[in-house]
Amino acid sequence: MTTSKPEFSESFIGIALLTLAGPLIWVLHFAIVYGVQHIACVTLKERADFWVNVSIIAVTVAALLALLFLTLKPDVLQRLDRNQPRPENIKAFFSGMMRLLAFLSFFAVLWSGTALFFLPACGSVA
Amino acid sequence: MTKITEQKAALPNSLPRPEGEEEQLLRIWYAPTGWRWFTAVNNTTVGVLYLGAAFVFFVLAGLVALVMRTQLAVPENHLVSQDLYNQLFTVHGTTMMFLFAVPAMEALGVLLLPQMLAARDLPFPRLSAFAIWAYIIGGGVFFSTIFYDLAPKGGWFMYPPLTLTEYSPGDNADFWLLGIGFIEISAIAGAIEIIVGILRTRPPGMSLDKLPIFAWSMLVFAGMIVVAFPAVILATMFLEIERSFGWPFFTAAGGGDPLLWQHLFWFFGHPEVYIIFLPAAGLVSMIVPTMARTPLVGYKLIVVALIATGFFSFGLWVHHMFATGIPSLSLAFFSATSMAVAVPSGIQVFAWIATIASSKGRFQLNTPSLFVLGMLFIFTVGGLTGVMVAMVPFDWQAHDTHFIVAHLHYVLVGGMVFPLFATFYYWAPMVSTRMLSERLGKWCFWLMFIGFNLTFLHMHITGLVGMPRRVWTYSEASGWGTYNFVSTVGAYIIGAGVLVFIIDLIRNFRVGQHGMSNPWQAGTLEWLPTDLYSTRSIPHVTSREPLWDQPNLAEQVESGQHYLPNAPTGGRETIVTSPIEAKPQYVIQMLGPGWMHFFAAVFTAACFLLLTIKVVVPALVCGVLAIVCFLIWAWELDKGPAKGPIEIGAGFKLPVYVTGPVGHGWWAMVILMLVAGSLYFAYLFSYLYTWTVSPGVWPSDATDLPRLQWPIVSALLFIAGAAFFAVAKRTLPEPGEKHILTPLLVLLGALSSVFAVYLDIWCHWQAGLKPTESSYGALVYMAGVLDGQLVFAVLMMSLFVIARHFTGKLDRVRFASLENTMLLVYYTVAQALIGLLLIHGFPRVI
Repeated sequence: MTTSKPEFSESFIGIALLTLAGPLIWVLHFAIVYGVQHIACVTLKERADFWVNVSIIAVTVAALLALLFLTLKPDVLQRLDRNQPRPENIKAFFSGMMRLLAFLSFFAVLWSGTALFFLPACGSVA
Repeated sequence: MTKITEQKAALPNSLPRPEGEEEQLLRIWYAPTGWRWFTAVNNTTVGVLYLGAAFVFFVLAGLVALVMRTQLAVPENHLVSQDLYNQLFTVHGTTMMFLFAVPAMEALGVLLLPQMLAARDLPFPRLSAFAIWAYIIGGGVFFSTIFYDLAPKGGWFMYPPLTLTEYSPGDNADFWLLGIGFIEISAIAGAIEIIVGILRTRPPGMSLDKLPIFAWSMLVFAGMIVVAFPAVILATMFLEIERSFGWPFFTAAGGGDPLLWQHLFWFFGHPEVYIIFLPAAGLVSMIVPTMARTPLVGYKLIVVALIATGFFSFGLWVHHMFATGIPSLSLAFFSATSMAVAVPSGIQVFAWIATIASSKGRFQLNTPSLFVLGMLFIFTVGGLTGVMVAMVPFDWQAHDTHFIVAHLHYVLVGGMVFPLFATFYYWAPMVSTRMLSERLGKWCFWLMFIGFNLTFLHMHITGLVGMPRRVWTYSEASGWGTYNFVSTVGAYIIGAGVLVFIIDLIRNFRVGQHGMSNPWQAGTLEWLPTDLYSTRSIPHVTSREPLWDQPNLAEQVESGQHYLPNAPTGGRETIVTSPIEAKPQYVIQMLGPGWMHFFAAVFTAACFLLLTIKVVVPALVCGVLAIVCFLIWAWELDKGPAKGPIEIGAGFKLPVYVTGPVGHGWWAMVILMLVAGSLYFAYLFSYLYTWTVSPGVWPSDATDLPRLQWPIVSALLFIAGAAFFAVAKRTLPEPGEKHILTPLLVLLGALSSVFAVYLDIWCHWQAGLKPTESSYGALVYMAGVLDGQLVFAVLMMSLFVIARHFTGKLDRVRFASLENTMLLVYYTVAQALIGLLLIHGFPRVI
């Protein structure tokens, strides 16, 4: 008696993560800008403004470039997922989703990142 | 073995089926009646029960709302006392959010998904049934507290310090904390079932690009529950431990912070709005194309919108905390996301309008359509006021006023209640032998629609002229009397609408599956002819609307011409397909009716509720009995490969037992680990957040900390535990044999982890740290609590694995129970090592 193995198997995690790359970049960006700003303002006091500004600008630019790349070059998903043979309709569906999700995430990151130019790094306007 | 490309040539199989197949299916999938009805697990039985229970809670919470509205109808009213009013609004909000909205959506998942995916049932039928009974018992007891003055009074969000023992003595708050915590566990169990069900039990051919939108929305919904609910479970643990044992997580004098509760609660609470809305949006996306007689416009865009909404909703939680003094830039991050999330929500609304428009006048204006159109109006108004309150300066003006009450009701009633009533009228024929009445349905809609707007539209003005939320009464001089009176009249009109629906149910709803098949001429699989066993055979799917695009599919499926028209293993089974392309992989053997899931729910509920009223010993006895029930239930799960491989049709010969990442049990375990990981992430956030608030209570000198040798020994013990399990797997005997080394290694692995947790707690105690002294101490010991509960689960599972070994049910072929235990062990070790690094490393580097 042995365990039979299915004739067909497919990888799921890789393509799922690639498809969700846009929102995942947004999550990472959001966690870093909120975390850095919160911790820097508490710990660095008067030096916080500089480090908050520099880190948020750097992270936002990096995130926007990555999202722009995913939006303009969606075939990156197919190149990274090349080890798994998949039908064309599946490839097109997932790369299309990745592109649209990255596009939406681009604006979410942009709106969060540009807030820095209008508000004090640590203070309250209340 | 038939190649995948040959399937369409092989199906439908028009050869005559052997006699007695359908009778065998009916016998296997019977639904118990009489007193054995409690043992039922069929999704149609427990799904209707689940939905019915959620609707009962909706009616009860609605009646509570009517009492509140009557109290507010005129100024200086004394119909109810101030104290009772506090209990009423807390129970109303809590019941609507925790006992109606989320369970109703999970109920629809349990009820509709197997039919929509043409599966015989979801992959863990007893888990669904357990979740449902746990919810009914826990919810029933929680709601009943309103009748004997034991209901919580702190609002549905239970903010400390108001809910700490000194300001909320008695058991009222505990009923919320333990009761709701328990119901959240039930919701997580349902979410695991739904994720595995959608990704693994689709019909062959239904690749993800052909998945019905409702299934997509339920996938996002369940994923959000996995990430969001652990945060509030941790928060309720913190608050209950602080109330019971005085660990100061939220007390400022001990270095705690009441705002930590708000962070954790709203990290769950805001996604909760979308957890409720997204499945409802999915339902609308199913109804609109049917009524418009045309495929949904923008399928891919809607899927993208669902996923994007799911993600962005986790960046909104602070928009409930705009008035707490958080720095402006932080508020701006959340304000930006609050506006970003409006984009995907808007995409869905425009897709529905475009679908209706593309029907070129064929859109049918019946009861489900009316509720959908009503939803479009109400939800859009709620969305627009949502954008208003996402702007910080406006929110400061509207915060805690009736403007917010109006906004949240427009979002939740428009986004969830109206789609749910559309669902009731649309899908009733799937589980009832008769349709609901169109005439009564239209009365119901217009009463609810007019009543709702009469109640809440001008409530925006009530708020803008200054009426705060949660006030028991108000003075005549305020000038709010007329507004409130009109709102009360509107609330009674809503009540009349719901009453009409109940009359319709009583007159026309008759549970049964031999009514009209496909009365709306819809295109999706839930409208195939079904019986107790779901569909007679499982169809091969080639499009998003198979009933529109595959001629005669219903007849072929009903005459057994597609997959699995019989029961080759002689038991309950369904096909497991690959998660993306839905290619057949194996056949899952499922459990039928039984008592253990029911008693497990009863004893678990009893344990939680007895703990609430501090009856500790009986609570522990019930806890032990619940564990015994779980173990007996789990004993039957691993049926082994003896009955396979089996033919399912079209030349496919599939195994009935698999292990590793292909297996559905492995998937469920991984999702459970994600739940645990999310909970631990919330803990790490709490630790670091509390440090930023009260760095003074953290040790300033390394000599105050335990010596480094102890965490190192603890870490080595954890690693050794994992290693013991890895070696144990290698020593598994051949079938029919026993090997004493296997159980010994499993036991050593479990005991190593137990000792590692004990050692870490002991070394802090020896260093003089007490959990009641400061928030630092409380958080350090909390790490031990979180590791300890996992290690306890590992110990129980290890004893279970050892018992299976000695009864000949664990060997080199049949080892799913060991594999699942190992997954939990590896996760536990990873979590514990991160915890040791944080607890012993962080204070040394700051």
